[in-house]
Amino acid sequence: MKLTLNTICIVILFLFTSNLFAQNYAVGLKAGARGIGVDVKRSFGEDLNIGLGFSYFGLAVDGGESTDDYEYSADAKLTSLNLFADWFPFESIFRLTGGIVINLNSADVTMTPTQTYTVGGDEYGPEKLGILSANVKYNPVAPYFGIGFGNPTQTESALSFTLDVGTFYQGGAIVDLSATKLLTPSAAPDQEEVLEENLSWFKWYPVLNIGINYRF
Amino acid sequence: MQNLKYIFVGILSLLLINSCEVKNPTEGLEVRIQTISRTTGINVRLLDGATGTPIEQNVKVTFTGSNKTSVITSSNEPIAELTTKAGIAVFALEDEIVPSIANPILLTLVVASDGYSETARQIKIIKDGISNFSVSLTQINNPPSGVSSNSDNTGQTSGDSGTTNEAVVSTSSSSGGNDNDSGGEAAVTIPAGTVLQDANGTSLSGTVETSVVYTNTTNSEALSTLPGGANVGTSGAPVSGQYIPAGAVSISMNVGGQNVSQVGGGGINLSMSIPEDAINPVTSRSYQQGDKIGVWVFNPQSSVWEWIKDLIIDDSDVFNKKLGQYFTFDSPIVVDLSIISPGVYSFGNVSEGVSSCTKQIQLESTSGVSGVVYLDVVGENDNLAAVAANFVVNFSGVALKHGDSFSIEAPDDLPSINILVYDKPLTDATKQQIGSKSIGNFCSESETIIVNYTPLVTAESLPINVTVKCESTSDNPKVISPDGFSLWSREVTSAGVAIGIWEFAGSFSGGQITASLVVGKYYEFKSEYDGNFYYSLDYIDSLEAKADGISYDIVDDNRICDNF
Repeated sequence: MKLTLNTICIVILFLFTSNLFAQNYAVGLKAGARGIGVDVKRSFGEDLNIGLGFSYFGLAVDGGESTDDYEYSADAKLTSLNLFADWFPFESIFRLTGGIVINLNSADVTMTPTQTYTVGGDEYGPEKLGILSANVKYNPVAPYFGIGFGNPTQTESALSFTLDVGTFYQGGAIVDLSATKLLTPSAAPDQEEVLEENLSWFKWYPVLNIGINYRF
Repeated sequence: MQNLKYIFVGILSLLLINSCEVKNPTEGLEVRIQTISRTTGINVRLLDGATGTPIEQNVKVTFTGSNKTSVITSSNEPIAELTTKAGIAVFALEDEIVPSIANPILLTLVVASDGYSETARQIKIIKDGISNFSVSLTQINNPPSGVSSNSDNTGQTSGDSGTTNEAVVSTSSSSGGNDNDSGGEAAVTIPAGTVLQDANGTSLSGTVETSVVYTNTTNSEALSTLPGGANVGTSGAPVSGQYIPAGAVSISMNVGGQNVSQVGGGGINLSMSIPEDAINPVTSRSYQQGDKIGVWVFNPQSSVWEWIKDLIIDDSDVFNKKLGQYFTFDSPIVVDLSIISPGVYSFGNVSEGVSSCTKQIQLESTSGVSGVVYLDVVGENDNLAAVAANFVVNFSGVALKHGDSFSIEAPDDLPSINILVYDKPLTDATKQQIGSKSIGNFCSESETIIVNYTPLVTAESLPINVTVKCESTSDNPKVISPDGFSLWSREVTSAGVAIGIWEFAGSFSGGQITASLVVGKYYEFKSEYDGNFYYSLDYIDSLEAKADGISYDIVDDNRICDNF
């Protein structure tokens, strides 16, 4: 992870300070499936842009009924950095985009039992049982590819709009369970595997962004 | 443009394919509950006095004494009695009670099983966690060494009219009794017209079955089956003292299966022999004609020996004198069988105000962990004086393993003793001694006395994981992770045939426990919860001990899953 970050930083520094190519710059605000963020792009000729971006969004979700075994409350933080290259193959606004997402998305989920169980003469109600907590995260380095429309470094007007549709591969969820009181056995490693399996459908993160940019 | 369309559709398809299998994140996630373990748990091994093996038929244990209302099951349900055929009684004390040496909890167990003489044992719990005790019962047809016994049909009784004929039941072998080197005998005479009543005072009718057990109290093996403890009462007030028995008789009667608790009419007559080597502590010689001797009865409700009367030993020729000193009561002694329930008389003298001490005995293996080993205590010259007998009566034959400890109370003037460690039960002729500890002055020893031993077979401490899986109507299976459950292991063949004996491993903590097992051997397990025993062979074949331990599940057992 450290090596990859170091490498990325060196590449960025080279690209943005190099005078080898004709250069225009654009900065943009974007919103979409990765949250709200900013992008900075630099052109390398007329058909290639390299960009660096950041996105963030926080989301809280509650769920579960009183008749279920658990009620849950989830606190998701969508945080990511990206280093993308935009290639315009047809001398138009259509582009192919590829690159790397530093995926720091995570979710903290708290599950509280709703039922009271009886074993022998002992009653096990929610207060005695405790809480089961889960932290969910993904691979921090994820490859991205997608298509887009709009070239913010080459427009005649300084202001322009962009649209991106793509996906990045974040891999399977990495779940870390913890529990308090009598629910402690529920946080065993094999339970983490159950949750990871239940979240295995979400390996490809869909991206749909719209942005407004300013060229300078 | 055409290329553009193909690319766009391809990306959307990829996204859709991956979103088709959306699952509820908590589906299949087990609700695993760790059971609440009790603060103080008690295991009582119920043993055949002659063989030392667990009695694996129904044994009923009734709790008596001032602390009887504090007894609960391992799942926090109050109980007044329990019945088990696992050879062990498992129960607990209410969680708020925390026993200690300064604040011990005394509890009396009245133990009964078909074919065995009913007995009672007082146990003293001095710590939280698990305490282990043993109670030995005399099988009428196969008594232990130092005991003679007999059981007979003694005719009919008809309500308030009483017994139709006089009947005599004697433990002598010439009278059909079973005598295992007791050196003595006892006989009960039931006069005609004796009214037999139950605990409510209702006169009973039907066929009478009478059992008599004579115990030579100078024999340590026999002494382990004698009920009671060291507490005696004088003038109705319990006083700690040193009670020196000179023999004991247990009488029990039932009419058509109903226990007789009271006897009306003139009562029944008792005669018994005093062992030749029983020492009169007043005269410091063996009992002789003209000596005064007290008659005591053990009361399981109060857990003390109660004085009935004094007698002068006469020289009746009722029995053959070569068997030792004999006497008969000069009048019927038994007028109320409720006093003698479970039916024990004993004869002896009391020295009051004897100072005593309590020490912890801790067992330590010199080479790794081991399975269960067995302890005995003997006098320095293999002849422990009767003065110390009652203090060590619960000690002999106790089964422990490396790291276990228990307490023993002894008088200050306890003679020199040897604590011996064996690899097999004391009654096993092939047992080998694997350790010993000589103690000259017991009460001068440190608070914890270490007894070292070297096991013949070195086991390993392996983790055992057990969970209870219960059916669930929701998407979340229910699993109980046992905490506080007790576990025993037994070596078996790969086909599940028992080879060894049940050995106590300890109690679970969060579903886990370690047991001393030998890698490569096969075992079965039983665990106790809420008065029920759960045998691993009911759920899975015999389990081979591996270096990383053993895991198995108790599956869908209604006894525990019913309300879960």
